[in-house]
Amino acid sequence: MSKLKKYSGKAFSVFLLLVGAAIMLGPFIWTISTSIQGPGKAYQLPPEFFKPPFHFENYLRVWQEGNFAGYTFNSVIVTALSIIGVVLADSFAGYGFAKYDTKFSNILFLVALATMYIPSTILAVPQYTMWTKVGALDTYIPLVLPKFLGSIGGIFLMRQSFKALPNQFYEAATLDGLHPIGIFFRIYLPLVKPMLATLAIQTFIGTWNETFAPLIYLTDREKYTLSVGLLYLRQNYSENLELLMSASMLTMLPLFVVYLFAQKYFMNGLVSSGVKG
Amino acid sequence: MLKKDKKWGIFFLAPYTISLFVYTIIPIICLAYFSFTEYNLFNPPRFVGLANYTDVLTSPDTWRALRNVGVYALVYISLNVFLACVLGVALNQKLKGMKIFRTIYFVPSLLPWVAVSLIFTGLFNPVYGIINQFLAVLGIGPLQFTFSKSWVEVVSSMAIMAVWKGVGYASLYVLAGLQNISEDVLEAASIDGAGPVTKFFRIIIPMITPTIFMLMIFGLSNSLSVFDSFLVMLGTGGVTSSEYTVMSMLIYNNAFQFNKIGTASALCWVAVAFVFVITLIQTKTEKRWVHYE
Repeated sequence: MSKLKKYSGKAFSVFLLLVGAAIMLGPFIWTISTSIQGPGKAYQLPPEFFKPPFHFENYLRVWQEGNFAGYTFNSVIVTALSIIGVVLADSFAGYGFAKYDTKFSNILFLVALATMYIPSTILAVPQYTMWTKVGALDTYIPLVLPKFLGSIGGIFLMRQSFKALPNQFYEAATLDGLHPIGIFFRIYLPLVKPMLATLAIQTFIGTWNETFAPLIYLTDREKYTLSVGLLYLRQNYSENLELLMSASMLTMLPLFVVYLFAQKYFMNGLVSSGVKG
Repeated sequence: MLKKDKKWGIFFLAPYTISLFVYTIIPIICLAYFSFTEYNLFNPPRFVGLANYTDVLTSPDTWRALRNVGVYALVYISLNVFLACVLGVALNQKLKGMKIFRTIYFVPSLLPWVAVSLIFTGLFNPVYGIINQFLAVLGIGPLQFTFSKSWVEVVSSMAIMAVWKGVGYASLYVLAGLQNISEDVLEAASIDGAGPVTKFFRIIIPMITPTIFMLMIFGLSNSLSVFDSFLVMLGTGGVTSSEYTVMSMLIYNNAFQFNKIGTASALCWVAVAFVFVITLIQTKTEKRWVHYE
């Protein structure tokens, strides 16, 4: 009897998961189907799914006429620079917090943790006036430069990883005559590679999807990143759902690909950010 | 660490110290100062006392935005937490193929809000959208979703979209929390005749209250900063009908569309106060229902 109950419980779970999976996947299937439809086909009844003729040229139109080639290039530049900045700066500061236990670093860390609670939208107002004053509007500087100085979320992750490594390495390396900077780059940094990968991926997703900062800082359409480009397309082609869907697919594709190849690093970040720590 | 190397600590922390002061602490001070001035970025700020705050607090737009954020947060947090718990328990079964399910549920959380919102403008369409086609089969609707005249329906639809996007991610936290519940407890409950529903509400939920509390805190901060989806769904130029506005949209419009930095700064502090009060309520009531081991 209890065995039967157990199996019925499992069966119910699987049923629930299948219904849920259909709800999760449905929108994607609809998006793909719409993205290769002819103009106006999205607004007709009954709706059609994957009915030829297919208009793969929608993707080409968005890529060329819609300048998604340019937006993709811009997003790649901004994202690549951000990843380099975050990985360098956050591991630098994370190492400082983990290995040099001074009064200064302790106070700084507490202050930094307190600032985590301030919503970024709110800080954007004074930060924007600051960038206006130094004439950095319509450049990638406000999007990228702050990442080269570190931010507390990533620093916290890196601090945890460096803390887990023994201090004896440091002492031994010093005895062997290695410089403190050399100790960081040649001994400790290579040991936290998995966490660096996690940080890089988190930064990739965050920057690729970022809308608010590019929206307020960039005015020249040639400089737009993908998400702002999507917004612009929405303003000008709001009736052409098939183009909007091709553009959305183009924007999402790199995220699918990265997820497919780097799955384990996604979970790594989730677990170490304190799910159970 | 070697004592004589302590100065190197300052070296490693120097870039971040600069960032913290120049990019966080000074901006907060500026934000406080701007909120008492009239400032349009071109002329120097002019001190106006509390005028911005009285303007902001007497403007119906502010109260509508707070109302909308409040309802959005309520719908989003309650649905997201409940479904994440159900999903987490379902995903916790030791069966083949669970990894595929986890992937399917997790992936939407990686996607940009702009793309997800564009997809949902198509799905939510009252006449042609496939959601209404399905509901029609079940004999429900048609619903207006984000095309509705009623703000409750619009804001709730936005929250439901956010649940679709975020529930898989939240369920992974639940899944992690479930690893702390021993099989013995559930086994014992089964022997005592507890059914799956009883086990879910009486054992599983009470044992993962710390995770639920954390998801509520995250949910609140997500709700307050909601912006991209409202920008896509409800307005193109960024200036939406104030009936459906949210706090970050009001701040965006004032600061970056109308160059009213003073008003925007005052709105920022109203938003901070709003979060502060709700977080305070959450943490005060935490002891009553969150059980840490």
